[in-house]
Amino acid sequence: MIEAKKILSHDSEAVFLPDNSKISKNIIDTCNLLSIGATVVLCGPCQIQEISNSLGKRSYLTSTLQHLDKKDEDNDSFFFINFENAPMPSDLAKVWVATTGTTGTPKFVEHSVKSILELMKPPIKSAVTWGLTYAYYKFAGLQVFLQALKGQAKIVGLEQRISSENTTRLAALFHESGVTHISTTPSLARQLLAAGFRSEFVKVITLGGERAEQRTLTALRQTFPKAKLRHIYASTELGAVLTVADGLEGIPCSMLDGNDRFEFDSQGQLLVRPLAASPGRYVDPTQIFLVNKLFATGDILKKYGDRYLFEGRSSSTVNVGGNKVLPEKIEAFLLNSFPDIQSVVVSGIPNPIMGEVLSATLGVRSGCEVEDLKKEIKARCKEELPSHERPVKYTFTDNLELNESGKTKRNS
Amino acid sequence: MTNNSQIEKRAMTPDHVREVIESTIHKVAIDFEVGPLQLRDDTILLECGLDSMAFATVVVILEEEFGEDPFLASDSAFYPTTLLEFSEFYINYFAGTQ
Repeated sequence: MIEAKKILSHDSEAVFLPDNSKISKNIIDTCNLLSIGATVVLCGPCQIQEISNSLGKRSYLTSTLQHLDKKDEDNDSFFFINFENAPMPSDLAKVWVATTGTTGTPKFVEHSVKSILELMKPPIKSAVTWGLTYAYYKFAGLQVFLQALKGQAKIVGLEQRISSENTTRLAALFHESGVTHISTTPSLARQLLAAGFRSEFVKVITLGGERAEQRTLTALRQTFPKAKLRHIYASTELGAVLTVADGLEGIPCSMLDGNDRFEFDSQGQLLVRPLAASPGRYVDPTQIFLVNKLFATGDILKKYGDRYLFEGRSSSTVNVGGNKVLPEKIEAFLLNSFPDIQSVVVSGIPNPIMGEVLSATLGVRSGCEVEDLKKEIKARCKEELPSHERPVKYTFTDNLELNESGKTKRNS
Repeated sequence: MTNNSQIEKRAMTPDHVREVIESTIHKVAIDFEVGPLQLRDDTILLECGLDSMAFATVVVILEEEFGEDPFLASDSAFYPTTLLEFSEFYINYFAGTQ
């Protein structure tokens, strides 16, 4: 910290990029930098050099700084960090988090620790161990390790990107370390369940990043009957917006209707006013600019009875012969209807007759009879969905890949 | 699962292509609860009982059977109307240009 402090004292615009090869070192560097009020820039390992080049003189890679406090873990495959007595983040500290889905130089959102932890109430100094499933440089991952820091708790995770290949190891690590708090995506939660994860230590499960459909919520409730279960609606730009803790998919209408923070456009897209507390500022290497007062989330919601359900991203709309379909809706339908389906991506494929039609790629439980399942799925789709919403093509695979955010990878 | 890409092009005779097309149309007709269909050279496809969604399905299944979709590969916006035109479109693509 000595060198970082020196840098900050003569250049208040300096920003720091953790770029160590170990995830745990990057987390520790980040926490130490936040305690001295620095600005930390977080992005994936592949982008660091590019970002550092465009930020130029004012950026510092933490691997090149000397004298940063390090807890030397010899372990290459997993880490265990204890934040007891760790220095707390300064109010002046800032974090730039890269937003997903941009090509070329990513867009960054500037957050304070306060805006990152909006709606989060980490228990302080109690026996809490967080299991990290998200990438540390993504908003969701940042929320987890900052909660661990603020709560002076422990955190464990793998020193590698989580994928379908290491889920079993992750489950074993969590159980052996007595993980009590898990934050993850529904896709990864289903994989953990499939890997046999049912540790009795788990007290709190938080789902986010994707639609938390009922089947995953129910399976988690049954496997962890005593745990608090909630799903969060959040984005990198807004931070956490809503939490739903009643174990049911969707958002109760009462949370959105009549609340002047929320509006819908004609497409059903949710628009959200950032809280005054959240800076919600976009930052890029050349300038800082403000998010619109009413932020278009890109998420389409639809009312079903007394709940809003996430229909899909407006950008994923498929046009089947003039009928607009949100593929995520079909994904949720398939996941909720067939326990043998572990993961699914529905997407549009070009078709000379209809323009586009739907194609479903399904990751299924090993040992499952694929031909029988396909017949059942087609029959059920025929019963429940209008013809343009039924997938025309089905591809089966062992498991679908997760992207760096722990969400099921969509076809590009 | 048959690996259709391994089917040698010389096995894709006009007769074979036509046969696969007709059997696919019949299969989709059953799925869509239409039929039985009488298929002749001059049968107008979109009037034979299959709607556009059913037809779109036929094209997708043919792509799975043959390994390629001639509509995707072709530059021109050609829309075959009759069964003969449709079959010839496929035959020219798979068996004709050798």
